[in-house]
Amino acid sequence: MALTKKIPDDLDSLLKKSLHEDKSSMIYLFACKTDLAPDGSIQETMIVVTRVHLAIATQGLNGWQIMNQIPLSDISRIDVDTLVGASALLAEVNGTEIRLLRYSHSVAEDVADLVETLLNLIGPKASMIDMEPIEEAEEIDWSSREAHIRTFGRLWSFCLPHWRKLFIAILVTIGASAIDLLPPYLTMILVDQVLVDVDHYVWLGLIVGLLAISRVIHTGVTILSGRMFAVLGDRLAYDARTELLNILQLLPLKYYDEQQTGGLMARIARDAKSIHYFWIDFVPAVIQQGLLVFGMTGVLFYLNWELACLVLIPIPGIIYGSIYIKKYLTWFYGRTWDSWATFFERINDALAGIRVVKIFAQEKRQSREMELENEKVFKAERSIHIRSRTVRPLLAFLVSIGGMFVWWFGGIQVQSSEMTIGMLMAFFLYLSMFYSPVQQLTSMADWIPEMMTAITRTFEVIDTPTEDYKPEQNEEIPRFQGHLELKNVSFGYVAHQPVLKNITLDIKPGEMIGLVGHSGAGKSTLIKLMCRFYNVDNGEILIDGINIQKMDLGKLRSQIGYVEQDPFLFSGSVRDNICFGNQKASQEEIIESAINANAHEFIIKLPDAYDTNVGERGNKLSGGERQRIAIARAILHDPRILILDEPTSALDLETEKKIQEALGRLMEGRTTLAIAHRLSTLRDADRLLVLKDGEPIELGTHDELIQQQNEYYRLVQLHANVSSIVGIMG
Amino acid sequence: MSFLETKTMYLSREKNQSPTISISGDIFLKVKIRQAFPLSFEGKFITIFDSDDQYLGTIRDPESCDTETLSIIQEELDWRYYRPQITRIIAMDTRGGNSWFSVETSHGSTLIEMRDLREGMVELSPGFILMTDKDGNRFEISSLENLDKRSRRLINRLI
Repeated sequence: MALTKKIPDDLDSLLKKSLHEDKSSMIYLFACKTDLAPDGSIQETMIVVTRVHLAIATQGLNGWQIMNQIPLSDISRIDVDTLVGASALLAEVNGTEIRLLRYSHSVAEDVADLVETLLNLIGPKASMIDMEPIEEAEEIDWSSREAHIRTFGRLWSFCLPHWRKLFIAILVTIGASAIDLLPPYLTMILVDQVLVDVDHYVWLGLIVGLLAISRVIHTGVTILSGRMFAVLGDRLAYDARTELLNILQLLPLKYYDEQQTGGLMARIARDAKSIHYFWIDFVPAVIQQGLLVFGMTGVLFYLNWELACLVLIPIPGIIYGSIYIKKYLTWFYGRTWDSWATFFERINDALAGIRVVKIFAQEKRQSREMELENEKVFKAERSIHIRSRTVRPLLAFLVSIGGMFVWWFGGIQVQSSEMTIGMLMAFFLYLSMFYSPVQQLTSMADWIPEMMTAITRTFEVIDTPTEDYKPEQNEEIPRFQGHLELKNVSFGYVAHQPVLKNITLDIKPGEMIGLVGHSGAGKSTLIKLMCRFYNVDNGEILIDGINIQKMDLGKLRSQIGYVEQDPFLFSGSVRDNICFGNQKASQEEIIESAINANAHEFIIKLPDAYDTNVGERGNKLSGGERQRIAIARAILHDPRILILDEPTSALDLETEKKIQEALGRLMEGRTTLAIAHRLSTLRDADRLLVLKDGEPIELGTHDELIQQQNEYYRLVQLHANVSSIVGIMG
Repeated sequence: MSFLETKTMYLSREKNQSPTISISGDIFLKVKIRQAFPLSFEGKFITIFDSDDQYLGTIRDPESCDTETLSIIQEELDWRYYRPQITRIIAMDTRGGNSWFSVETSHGSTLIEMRDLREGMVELSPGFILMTDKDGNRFEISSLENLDKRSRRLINRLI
């Protein structure tokens, strides 16, 4: 075991002095840095474990101070209590539970490691055989600047497959910029050399013709460049959306546990679009306007370097202003995005729950709440628009100062014949063109942050690690026999809160195991682990002797069937839903599976029978009908292992009977794990596993468990009482 | 749901240990104390659970308890609900979609990092803001009015 933090030298000497251990044999086994002192103040704190002691030290103004030191031999238990906003480390010392300290969630994983280490050192099973002295763990510091550079890098990597088109588009844009420089120069020649004489009609025609041709070419090249970047932008936005949509399918369930659907929808709909804006507006503008600025700076210096220097005076102010505005406006754009995402979420909720709203007659309240969200969007949009519309004219004013300088000093030079009128005119024309791209570039400053924030959010989803579909030690799996083994399986959704503890179970092929226990006992979690929606923290799950973590995830799940309490049907036909897991199924196979699921009879009576659209989430069907379609879907999928998650709850007796029959057919020859609150549903189970607080407490047949008169017996009694009450009321 | 009669119950404890409750003469060791409405009715409707996390009852208003019981309840709530009060925003920054707040709190100075402002910063009622960082740690601004002018201005950009 390689252990975490290095102990600072001053703390090391303090510990050696204070712990009175033999200095030559004093070895640190574990050190963990936390962030709260025992009194709850935010201070750097260290928990140190030696072969003999557990010590807690806090760094105060006067250096390290040992707050607590306990001989390991006095500790009989170590535990974590999850509080609100923090967690606490508890220990049983000489038979009394004491609170050692609290720590923030940021260091929870380190403390969980500490607890694991301590469990090996205390109590009757104490062992130090495998313990190795402390090593400093490598820390990675991901600075946000790197994140920013990564975002830019990713944007360009998206473009790689289309580099030829991009290269041509950039060339065309450069051409458009170069042509743009020509008209003012021609104007200067026109004013200074052609218009001064009355007989220069040919030259006049030639120069005007050149001006017209340059305009025509410029217009054509600009159209071409715009169209090329537009197509490229659309293509890249499409690629980003496709990647995003593909990734969404592959993300682990844990990701969806932490995300709101509305926020994800906003990312797909709005954020991916930002990639389009990056290529359509940002890249061409930077190339074209940037080249114009550089080209014109060169020409201005060529024409009159003194005047050119004056033109550049406002530039530092413009650059400083742009940077300041970028920083300032970013917060407001973030707020606007957030208010839109919340707005989408509210609409999503309101529309999905419209039946509940109507049945509780809460339409007015819902309207009011949506109006509030709408108002928040309005206020956020207003605050950003007011600010951006204020800063832009201020920047434009800064820009106009350069014109004053040119009028004053240029005017003096013309009057003293140091400069021609044509050159002054050309200077002004270049000047108007010079500040225009500078203004455009600066005006971009207020939407670059918005765009970059949105693009970063998009990449954040794309970069989220997906499920490990093809593990490195990928083992070939044949069609399962259905032999399931759970060996000391433990799991928690968060590191220090185990939901399942030490589950060991051997299930023979074709056997049906019923999972029994109160709500929150860990039944559904166990099923999620079987499907590898989550990976176990400790122990292993084997199917036919192969650890499921070494299996190709797709092949594993293709042999598992799952019928849940409230099955999800996709919008589409009955047929589409039945053959969801087996697209190649023939019409005969679909009908046969529906017959076996006791679904054929009602399906055939629907207006369009198997082609009937079931509506969003199957809302045009009753609960029992949806359930039977889900069973038909599972039958057609032909899994070797079947998982039933309370499939007959909340149904009337007649429907339940039909579904029980269907399930009976579905379970034939398949290894089955079934959860049911109604214990009568599990009467056919070969064995029952009773879970309590995540731990297996009983395993056996119905009769054996009844005879034992423990937890299962109590549950049956409770169930019988409830049934009789329901019977009386019914 | 049972509300506890404050006249027939009291809490006691040894230093640094979980409290013990006596309800009408029945003694329960190592009880846990939680709030039913920690955000909307903070300090009222205090629920008591035994060492096996079985519900024992609810105290409507701990103010009606004896002094020692009230003091233990307060200590337990301070222990269980760790929400440092933000007293000043020193600086804030945003880059790459993440936001950072350098703050002074009732428990010391710290840096709060948020991945998602919308999730992390919620105005529960006017001027009462709950901030949750990327790791789930919580910080509270109980009243925006109590902050200095600059901190208020910075927060107002976000809510």
